[in-house]
Amino acid sequence: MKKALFILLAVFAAVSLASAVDFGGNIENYSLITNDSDSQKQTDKAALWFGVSPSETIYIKGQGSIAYSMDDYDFLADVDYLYITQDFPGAINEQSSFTYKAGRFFQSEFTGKVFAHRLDGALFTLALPIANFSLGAGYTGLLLKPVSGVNNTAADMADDADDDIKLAPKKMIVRLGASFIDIMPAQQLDVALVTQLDMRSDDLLEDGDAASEDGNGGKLNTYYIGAGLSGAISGSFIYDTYLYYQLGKTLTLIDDEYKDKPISAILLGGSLSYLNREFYRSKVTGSLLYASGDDDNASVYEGNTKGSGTQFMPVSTSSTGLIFNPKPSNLLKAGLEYSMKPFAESRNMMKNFQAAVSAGIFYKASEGAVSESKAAVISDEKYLGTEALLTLNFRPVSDFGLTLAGGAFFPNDSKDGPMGEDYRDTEAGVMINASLSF
Amino acid sequence: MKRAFLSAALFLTAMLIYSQSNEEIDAFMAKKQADVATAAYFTLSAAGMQNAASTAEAAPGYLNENKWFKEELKGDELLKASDASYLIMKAFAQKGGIMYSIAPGPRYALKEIKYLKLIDQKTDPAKIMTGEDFMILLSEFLSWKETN
Repeated sequence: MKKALFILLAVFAAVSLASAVDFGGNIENYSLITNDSDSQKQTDKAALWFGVSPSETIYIKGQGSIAYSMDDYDFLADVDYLYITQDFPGAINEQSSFTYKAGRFFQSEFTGKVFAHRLDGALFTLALPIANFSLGAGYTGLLLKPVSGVNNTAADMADDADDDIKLAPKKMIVRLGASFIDIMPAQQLDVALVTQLDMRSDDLLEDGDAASEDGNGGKLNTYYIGAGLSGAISGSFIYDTYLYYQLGKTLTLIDDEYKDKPISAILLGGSLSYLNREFYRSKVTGSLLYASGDDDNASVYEGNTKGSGTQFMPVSTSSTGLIFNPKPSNLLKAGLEYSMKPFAESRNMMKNFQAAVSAGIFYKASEGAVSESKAAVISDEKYLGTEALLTLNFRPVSDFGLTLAGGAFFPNDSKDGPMGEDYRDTEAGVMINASLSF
Repeated sequence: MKRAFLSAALFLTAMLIYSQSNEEIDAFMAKKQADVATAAYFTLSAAGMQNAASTAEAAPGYLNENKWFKEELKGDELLKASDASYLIMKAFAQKGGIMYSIAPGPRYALKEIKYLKLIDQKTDPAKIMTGEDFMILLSEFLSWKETN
């Protein structure tokens, strides 16, 4: 710990002393307090960053941090990002630009619901007047386990519970994307291809192994083909839609023998927003998310027990709620949100105050399990519960921001419902997120 | 669209620094490396402080007398992005964040200007600005100020 802190400070001091270096830092607190002690979280993080431009087109940026977490880990020193990027304006013609980025940084496909995570790798982007094309690839196995969210297999979950394992599951992610801007006036078409390759070298279970064999599941290689359309319908309505089809193979236990079965799953969703700038910059958004499930899945992690696997499994975890937060896997969620800036017209710091009320209704897409441990059982009933929140965002000045959210999750309290016996009471919670940059 | 906006903003800036001749503005905008003196002269004029410095040569003297910068400015000194940001923030008495309030200066001024999205987020504090870059920054700041 002391060694890691020393290295971070030494790197920071070295780059700060070099000429033409921009540097700074930030301090952040995230706290979630609920009446279920197992769900409570608190993370405090202090980070230092630097940025340097050795030439007009090259930029190098890095950030190291020390974090304390009450629930997941004690102290953690990490390199949050460290990358070099270079622009080549006019690469093909005057209107084009080519950019590469290499190192550790955040990558995402166009929705962020299938893959959005830090990687050690590279990204190549070609911007043309009609479209932007990108090719990204990277590895997850050098990231620290507590701050990664790529657990998708039984082996990943076993590693997650093992305190001796410090690094994230070894996966190679390759993604290809294209954004066609203004295919029609104010309409954008996105297409993407994402590949997740399991790079584990452990002695895992394989097709043909008997049920009596020891092991935590098999390898999971998955492929996602997606498209989305977004834009404005009129001046006041904006929308986005997306559809992903997942392919691959999943290890399936049938008649006391493991067999590789094909995956055929979908993720689809979208949102429609109405904007009214005149009435306190109001915004009303309705959203829908459907991630297919599998009736015979006893677990979302390689839980298939019959036929092909139809449960959608994203590469990385994305948020679907605050108090109840299952992965977009075997899930149907309908959401409604209204937000406003009540002091938008003022000329003081209050103009940056935003209030939002939202509700999300959660259903299982099939009888199988969902990723939340509170509802990880097969059940006929699909209604999981409803979450209602009030969120207040306030950034009074450029370097300080505060978010307060409070609300409750009202679970399906039916005895035969999908919620575990200990999780059928209303769970209330408050979240505080404050950050100061310097 | 952006070009039209910039033209309008530059026109607005020219109106505000009406005391300068078009030739002076054109000559400054043609500079590959802007100098602090002329940038300060235009900024003070745009902020309605024409009396503070009637010529570019006099502008650094005013800034030094009033201790705007920690170190004394020389007339032929080249204009860094961070100094340009502070010049504008200070001339227009623009309030900043917590850190700018505690330690006002070029460092946090550039961060404020980046937060307002008036300059490229990758801009290096030590980057020497061109005359055109500075005039665009000043114009964009004035346009932002109009609506905020």
